[in-house]
Amino acid sequence: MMNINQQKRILKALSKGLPICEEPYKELAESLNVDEQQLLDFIQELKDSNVISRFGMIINPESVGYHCNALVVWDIPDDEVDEIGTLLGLHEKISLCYKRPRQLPDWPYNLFTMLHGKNQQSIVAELNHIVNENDIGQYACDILFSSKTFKHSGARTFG
Amino acid sequence: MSDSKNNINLSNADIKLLNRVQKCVPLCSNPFSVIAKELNEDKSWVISRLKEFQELNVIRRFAAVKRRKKSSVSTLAAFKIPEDRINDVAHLINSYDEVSHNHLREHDYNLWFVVQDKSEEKVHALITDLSNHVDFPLLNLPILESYHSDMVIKLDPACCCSEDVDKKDHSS
Repeated sequence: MMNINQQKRILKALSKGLPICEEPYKELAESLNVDEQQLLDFIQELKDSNVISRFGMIINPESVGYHCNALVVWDIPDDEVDEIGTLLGLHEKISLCYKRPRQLPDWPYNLFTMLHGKNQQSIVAELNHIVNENDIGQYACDILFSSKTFKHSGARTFG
Repeated sequence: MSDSKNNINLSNADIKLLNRVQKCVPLCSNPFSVIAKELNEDKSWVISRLKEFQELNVIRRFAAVKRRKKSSVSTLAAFKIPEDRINDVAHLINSYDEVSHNHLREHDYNLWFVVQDKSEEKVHALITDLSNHVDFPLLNLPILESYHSDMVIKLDPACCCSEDVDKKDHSS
């Protein structure tokens, strides 16, 4: 059993990153002074208890030509937004999917999704595909392409 | 920000590999042998290619993605700013450490930024502070429900090849 301080230390190391090598867990375990199997069990526990949502590689979309991102916003009736949000959230091309408040009259949209692509045309094509596939053409939506990035830092963690 | 000339051309095998390792890396002693077997590739190719991708910053990290902590609160906010004031306001917004993202977007509400802090009060105080300094319409759109939140970027063969291939066809 690991104590809470050990767990915190390992979680911190896991979010910072593992080496890419033949036996990455063994290498990290050695640097943390724990047993490899202990480390593997702990990661599994973190996955099972939903502390971490994913354990894998984090890529930089810009480096492979995905320069364009679009915030696609939808006006979905309140009693349907959970269903549509869940549906769109499962789509492999949608990276973020949140319900946020409308601010009428200026802002009628309550569902926010994020799409990435090489250019605007490819994102529009993907969006059309998503609309047809999910039969959601009846809802108003708007595409807000990013034209300039002033700041983009990784998610901050607190505490 | 744009470094399109430095883009890396990916083969179909590269794309399969990147899509696979984004999903998850198996929890066993030799995770990359498992992935190599699945993809019908050589283990040493998988490891050396992934290492290269990390050196080229295609892969940022091999790590655990933590679920958003309850102790952190965020909001998405947007200003409707006249063109000639965009730079000033963008720099003012950037000057706050609690702002993680700040994008110009093609819409009447054109400056979109994310504020993250430890409490709703702190986020609210920052938004109030900004709205006192910037006399343009502001939307404040905190998350009410999260249906999905993970930046897995599913790569398509059609979208990752060289520019001229890309221009030919997007319909596939």
